[in-house]
Amino acid sequence: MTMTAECALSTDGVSKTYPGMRALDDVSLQIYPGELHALVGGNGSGKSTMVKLLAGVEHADPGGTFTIGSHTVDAHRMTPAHARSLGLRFVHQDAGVFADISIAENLALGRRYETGLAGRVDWKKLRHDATKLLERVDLDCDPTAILSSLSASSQTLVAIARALADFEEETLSALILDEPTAALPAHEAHNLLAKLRVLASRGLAVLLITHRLDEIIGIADRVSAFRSGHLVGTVEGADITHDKLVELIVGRPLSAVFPEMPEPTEDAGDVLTVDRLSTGPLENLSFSIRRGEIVGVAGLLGTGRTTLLRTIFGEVAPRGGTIAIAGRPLHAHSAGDAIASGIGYVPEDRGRDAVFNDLSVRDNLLAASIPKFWRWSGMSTKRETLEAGRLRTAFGIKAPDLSNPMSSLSGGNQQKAILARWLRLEPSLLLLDEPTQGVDIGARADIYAIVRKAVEAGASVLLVASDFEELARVSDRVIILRDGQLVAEVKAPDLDQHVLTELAYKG
Amino acid sequence: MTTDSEKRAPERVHEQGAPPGLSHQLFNLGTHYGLLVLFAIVVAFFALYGATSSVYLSQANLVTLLGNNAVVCIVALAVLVTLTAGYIDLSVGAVTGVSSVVVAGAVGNDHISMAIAIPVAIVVGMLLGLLNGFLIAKFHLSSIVTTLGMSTALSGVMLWYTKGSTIGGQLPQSLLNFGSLNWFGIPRVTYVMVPIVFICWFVLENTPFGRYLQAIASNSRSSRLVGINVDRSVLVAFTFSGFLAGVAGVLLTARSGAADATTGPSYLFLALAGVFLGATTIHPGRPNTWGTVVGIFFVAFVVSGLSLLGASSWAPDLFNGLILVAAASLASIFARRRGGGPRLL
Repeated sequence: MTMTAECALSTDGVSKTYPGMRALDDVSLQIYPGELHALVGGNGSGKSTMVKLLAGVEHADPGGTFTIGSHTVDAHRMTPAHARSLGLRFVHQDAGVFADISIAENLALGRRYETGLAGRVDWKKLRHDATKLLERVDLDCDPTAILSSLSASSQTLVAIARALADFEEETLSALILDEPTAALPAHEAHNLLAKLRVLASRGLAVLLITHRLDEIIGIADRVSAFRSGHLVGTVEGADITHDKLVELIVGRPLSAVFPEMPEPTEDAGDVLTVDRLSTGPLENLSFSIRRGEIVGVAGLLGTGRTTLLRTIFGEVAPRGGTIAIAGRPLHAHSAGDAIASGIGYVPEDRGRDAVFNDLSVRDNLLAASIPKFWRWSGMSTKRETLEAGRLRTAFGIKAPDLSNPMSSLSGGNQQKAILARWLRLEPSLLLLDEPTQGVDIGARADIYAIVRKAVEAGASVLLVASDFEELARVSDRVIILRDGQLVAEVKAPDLDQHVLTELAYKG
Repeated sequence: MTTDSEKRAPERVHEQGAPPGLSHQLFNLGTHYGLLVLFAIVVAFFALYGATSSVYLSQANLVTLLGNNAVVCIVALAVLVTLTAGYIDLSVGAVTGVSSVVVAGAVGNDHISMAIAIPVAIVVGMLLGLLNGFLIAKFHLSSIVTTLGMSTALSGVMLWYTKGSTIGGQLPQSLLNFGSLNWFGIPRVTYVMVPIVFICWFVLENTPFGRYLQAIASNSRSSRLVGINVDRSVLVAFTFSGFLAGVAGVLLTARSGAADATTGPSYLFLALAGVFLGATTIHPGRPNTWGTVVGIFFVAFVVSGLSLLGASSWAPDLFNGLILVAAASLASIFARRRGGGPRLL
């Protein structure tokens, strides 16, 4: 990559203070034309604030400046119209595309529908323009197709094409994407980033905000890390490694993030025995988990990882095979049956499947134990409050008031509360589906510390995670699912993310 | 997610930074007990205002208010039971009507013993509730559409059976007495209403079942995954609601001394207004038993005062309509403050 003298976009001494909190402190960042520049950091580190300041939707503290091409503006005077006229284009996390209408219409919505006689929509011109825009992002598809027929990464590309719609090639400019890959599975994220790489190589400056570190390694030209509102470092080339980035983001080395898990005792009996289980895309799956063991499940999206957990939890009826808990056959037809057999389940989509947003933190903590607080005279709210307080302390949940609604907690604290909900039942088997999704890296460390404690107390864990690094570090053993089969099983010392990635994609 | 938490973070720091001051506590008191205060002000106004003061708080007026609203109150509780689980039941008025028509038809026209007719009417109410619950829980139909259809169909059945007129010419005196006379100066129907209020309060707010319903209203997917039998809970809630509507129907016939196709369904609106008003007080943002009782009697006391003032016949409808919209808006605002979003309708 060649660094031209002139930045496409630079910030100089930009700060942002909210009442009671410094979101950004004296940040000076340079992004060059032709560069794919990633911006990483934990939740609340200030990376999204930076996007808002650049977009002009929030105003910086007086003092800093933005330089876009050859124009320098005071950072606190930036407006959306200004950002636009200077050639900045934004794609937000929720890309604002419409799944049920055609690609051409999605593109037209960004500007206007081309109209012909009497205000009638000129569909032909619409399609023609759409095709040209799609070429820019190297997306080869029929503009009349319904957007939802595209893969998730291609839908994001449509949003990018729309953002670039009135972008003149000669205007030096930057494309800023706020967590475009947050909702994408790993291989889709990879496709999207490859396309962004191509866009950048044509001379565009691309600034990518993300919290998924693996995806940018090997693709981003440079990576800047934010921590608590400070730019803590910019690394490039071979220095962009997972460990280095985590260290920048967290401020401590990676070994402190994932605690060492205890070795399972050798002669402990099997807690879970799965025998020739066929469910969802899986066929004839057999494996077992011993007491105190953490078994990871690696596989790409759609390989049936979640279906496997849901089958064990009684939510999906298997097509064949048996599941046994501590040697006794499990016939779970509902979550209630599975819970009675000592199983707990932390689902992948916390907001949809685990939390009760408008109920209190207390009710959320005790949601799986409601009948235990019932006496003939009614629910014992006193005992409930005591128990919820005990769980808050034991699991380090930051909740100032247990009667506040669950929605007032941060994602990481919500997830700790969900774990506490299950662990207070002392389950013999804990099913974890992406337990650290959407939580920042500090809370991730807390969550795995909680899991370790549970394992030390005798629980076994079946863990699904898309982050193979995480899977490799936390699990004692990882089973790899591919094409409906259990294709391999990896144990330490062979267990590392590269082995898992290789096995998950191709044997 | 990052965007959201970063945007909210400063506000939260701000909120936690200041200890809950007097104004904050007053605000809390206001949202919890505002309706009660308003109730007291309204009563005080009509009790002191010249044109209404002589009659408003007289024993006769209070007894009439209590007796007339016992049935509405039970219908409102029937709405409350399913609404606690997040399902609105628009058929409770019609089910009340059917139960009322069954009693009047069986006892008054066909001379069947009350000991049989009354339980049958209540069981009919439960079966209709069960049918609603079955359609909604098993087939995942919208509760608004299902119960609106049910309500309309039942109204048709009642019109067919009653031929559009009032039925139940020769009801036994004991039933009529129960509807119109007092025990110890309090209407006899109130002696049915009060235990039912306590039962609803106990079941909905002090039993695991009530907690299940609250959880289902909040998030039915999460509820299933913590082991709650969602389908069965919804089915039981609708059946319980049908039971309450059935009881209300029996009392309605006793109170009015007859039955027709329109009185029962006409109670739906008042019941909804009471439930939504109730959701603005005691537990703001959540439909609740005591709030519902307060809501029903608030509306009754205001309408009584207005009619004593000589308000025209259109005034109560205008007031009821406005109060429903205002109550639903306030309840939704409170619910949203708790992070629940507009879950009431």
